Amino acid sequence: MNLYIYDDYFKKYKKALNNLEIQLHNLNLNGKIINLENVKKLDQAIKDEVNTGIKTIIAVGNNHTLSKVLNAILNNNDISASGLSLGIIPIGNNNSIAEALGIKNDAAAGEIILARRLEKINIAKINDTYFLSEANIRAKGTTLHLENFSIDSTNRGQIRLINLLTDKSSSQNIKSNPQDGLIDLYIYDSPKKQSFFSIKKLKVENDSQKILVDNSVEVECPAIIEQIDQKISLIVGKNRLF
Amino acid sequence: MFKKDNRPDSFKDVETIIGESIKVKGNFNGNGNIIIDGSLEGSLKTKGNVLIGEKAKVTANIEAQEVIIDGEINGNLSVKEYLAVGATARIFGDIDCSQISIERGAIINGKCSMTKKEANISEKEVK
Repeated sequence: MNLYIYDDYFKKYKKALNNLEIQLHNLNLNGKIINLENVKKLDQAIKDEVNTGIKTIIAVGNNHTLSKVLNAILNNNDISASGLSLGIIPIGNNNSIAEALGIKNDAAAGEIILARRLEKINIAKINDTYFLSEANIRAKGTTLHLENFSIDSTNRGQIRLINLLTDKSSSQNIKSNPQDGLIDLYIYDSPKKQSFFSIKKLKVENDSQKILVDNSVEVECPAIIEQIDQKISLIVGKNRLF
Repeated sequence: MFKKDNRPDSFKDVETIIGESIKVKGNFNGNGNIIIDGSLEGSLKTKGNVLIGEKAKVTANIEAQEVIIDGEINGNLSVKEYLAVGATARIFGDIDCSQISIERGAIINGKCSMTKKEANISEKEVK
C-alpha cells in the first residue's frame, strides 16, 4: 500500500486533486493519506506508517513538498530509507524535480506510479537539510572552499551545485548524472565564461546572499554542501532527464 | 561531465573548466582533462591533459599528460608526453617534456629538458 502525503496549498487545485483521486482509484492505487495541514511532526507520522508496513511514499505537491518528505524520512533515525521508495505527483507550479523524473503532470503520474519504474539517485545535503536537485547562489561575492583549494568569481553570474539536473538549457551545455556520486559545480556568467568542477564536498561563503535549495528552501551562508553516501529509490517515468 | 565542442579532440571530455571570471587558489588535483581560461594560483596535477587558454593567467607548477598553452604561466611544467606552445603563450619557468612544438611569437623564459618518459602501455605476449 502507498502512503500519500498531501501538501497544504491545494485550495485552488481542488479539481485537479479530485481528478487525481479518481485516477488513483481506477488504477487501484489507493492508500493512506496524510495531509500536511493536519500534521505537526511529519517524521513521526511517516515513522508510524512505515511501522505498519508502508514501503512507498508519494509526495503530492511540488519541489517543496518533496523536500519536506525527503527530510522527514532522512532525519528520522528510526526509518531506514534504503527500504523505501519515494514518488511525486506534481500539483501546480514549481515542479521541476517531477519533470526531471519524467513526471510531466498529475494526469501522467498515476500510470507512472503504477508502472513503478525505480531509479536510485544520490542525495545531497546542505548543512542539516537534504536535497535532490540543486543549490543556487549568485557568483559575485561568493567564495567556495574545497579540500585543497578555493574558488572566487570576479563577475556576476550564477553558481549552481547540481545533483539532479532539472533543465537542459542549450546555452548552458551541462551534462549531470545524479547517480555518479558527485555534485556538479557549475559557474555560469556568459556562454564564454563558464566553469565546471565535479566535487564531493565544499563550503560556501557569502556575506550578503542566501543559497536557494531545490527552488524552495533558503539557507544562510556559510554552508557545507556535500554528497552523502546514501541513495534513495525514486519512482520515475520513461522521459526522465537522466 | 561538461562537453565543450570547440576544443581539440583530446579535450572533448573535460573534467574541469576554470572559466574566465574564476580565480582558483590552492593545490588542484584532478584525474581528467582540465581547461583553464581564468586564473590559477598554487599547483595543478592531473592524469589527463591541460589546456591553458589565451586569457588564462597561471601561477603554478603543472604536471600533466599533455599540455597546450596559449596563455601565461609562471611556474614549472612537467609534461609526460606532448607540450604544444601556441603563438600567444608566455612561459616563465622550466619545462620538462617528451615532445614539444613551439609556434612563432611564443615567449619562453626558462630551461627546457626533453626526456623520454616511459609509455604507459602494457605489452601482451603474442604466441
